[in-house]
Amino acid sequence: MKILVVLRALQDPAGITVNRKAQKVFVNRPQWVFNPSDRNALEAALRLGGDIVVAAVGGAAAEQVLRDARAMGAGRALLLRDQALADADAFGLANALKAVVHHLGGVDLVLCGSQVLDADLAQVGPRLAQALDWPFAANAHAVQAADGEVALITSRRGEWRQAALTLPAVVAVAPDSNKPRLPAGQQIINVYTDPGAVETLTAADLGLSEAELQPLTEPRGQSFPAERELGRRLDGDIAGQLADILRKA
Amino acid sequence: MDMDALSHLMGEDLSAANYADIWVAVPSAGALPLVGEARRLADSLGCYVHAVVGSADTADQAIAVGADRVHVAAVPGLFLAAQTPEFAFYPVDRWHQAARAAQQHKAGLITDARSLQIDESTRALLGSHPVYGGEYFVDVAVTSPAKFATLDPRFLPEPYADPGRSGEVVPNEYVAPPPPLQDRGPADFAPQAWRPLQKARRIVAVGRGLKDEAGLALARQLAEKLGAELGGDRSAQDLGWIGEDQVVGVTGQEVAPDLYVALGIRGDTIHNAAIVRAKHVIAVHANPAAPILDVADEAVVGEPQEVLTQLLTRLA
Repeated sequence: MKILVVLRALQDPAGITVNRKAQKVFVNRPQWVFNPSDRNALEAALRLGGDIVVAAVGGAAAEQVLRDARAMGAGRALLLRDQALADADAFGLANALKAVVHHLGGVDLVLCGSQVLDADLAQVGPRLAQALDWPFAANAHAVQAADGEVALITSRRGEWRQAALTLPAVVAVAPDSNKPRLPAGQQIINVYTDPGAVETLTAADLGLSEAELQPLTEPRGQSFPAERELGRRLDGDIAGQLADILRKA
Repeated sequence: MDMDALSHLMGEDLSAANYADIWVAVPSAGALPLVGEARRLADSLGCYVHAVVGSADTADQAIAVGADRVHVAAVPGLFLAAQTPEFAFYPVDRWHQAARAAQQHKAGLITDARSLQIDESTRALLGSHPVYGGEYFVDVAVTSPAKFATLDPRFLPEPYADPGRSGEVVPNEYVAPPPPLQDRGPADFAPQAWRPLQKARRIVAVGRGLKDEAGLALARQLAEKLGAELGGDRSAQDLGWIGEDQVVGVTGQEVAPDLYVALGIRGDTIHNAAIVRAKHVIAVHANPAAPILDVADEAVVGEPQEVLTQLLTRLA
């Protein structure tokens, strides 16, 4: 079985401070980590076994995440490095990943993380499924593959259900749905000393046109939630107010 | 110039002109606040609001809260994807349907969008998407001819319902394709029985102020209802209510949940310093001078047992 795992590097949340008063994000410790649920997607792929290819878009940070993925056991790593791709939004990234699937001569399963912590990009999974005209499942636990289908457990309206998709398919793996393995020390050394551990591809290598990467959204900066006013004492109908707050929390 | 060349030149504008109105997927009555939001935006633009409802029972309510046209379809999200909306809103739990439809229409999508606005001159859809679990937001403008967003009804105001509003139920012959996700029945499954407290999204924390086992039992009930983990301060561990690994404090565990409910915890420095990264803190303590009350977003002065008893009946 051939599996493509989509990875993303992001700024380690433990290394940033969000200052609501200054309306600014401070980076105390620049450190790049896996998008958390992507690591669960890779672990799910490694448990399924077979031919595992990892892919990420970006520069040095993405390359480091791909090397870590190789150390964990992925067989091949593709870095999509191109200015046109750096500016692409979810629409363009889905088209680029579709081109990666074709570049690999097709795959049986694409796995990605169900959540993206630092951007509005969890939508890339279902968008890719649409671009390939494949079925999609979100928030998957206990992913298994057999007899041309993938079986998984997912929540539907607050209830856990067993479900199956016919392969090929795109599955978004739930955060914390498994315990990702730690790479063996020797593997890390092998991967970091092998210059060919990560293959680099450009938009031209993948035959991507400008229209396919055209951004449909424009970033307009950041905004911050209101500063917290602590110590607000409730009075009157306390139980009623608390119930409202808890229902919305 | 012949007409073909002209329409080719105008092709982009023509395709944009086909996309019209605000369409809202309403799979259940819980998504009606989205129709209210669509109404607010449609009033400033002067366009129609179409609601696609999952059952005919919701049609009247959808009209009352602002829909001009109502379509009934078994799977509203798929019906909507087959239309040509200029703006399309889906409830946040149907985000994957919205993403597929957006890709199909070459449209931009803001998921879990907050503070939506429409730029009246460019007709761009402006909104914010929470990142790092809501620590801050990235603002984005959707500029494609069709513009999609998913919205969480919990963050929208209760829509104003006018039973006298008029609207039209438009019949359709749409038959949804069979779902690709084959349901194989209920799963006997719990994601993880125990998660380390540092990773918990919700924590109910107990302290000496709960007085006795009866108070602890009430706190457990609340934790179960909220799907929260149980924690506590050092005093709760001394009483044998919680284990060593459930102690919140700089000498125990530092936590960063979305919701932290402190019940009968006085809140010394060792405890309070360990919850500074909690996003929302609610504290209940009988003593108005308890330090925990000053670091909570909402503070209640009262006997934790009594407050809990009333709260649990309200949440039932």
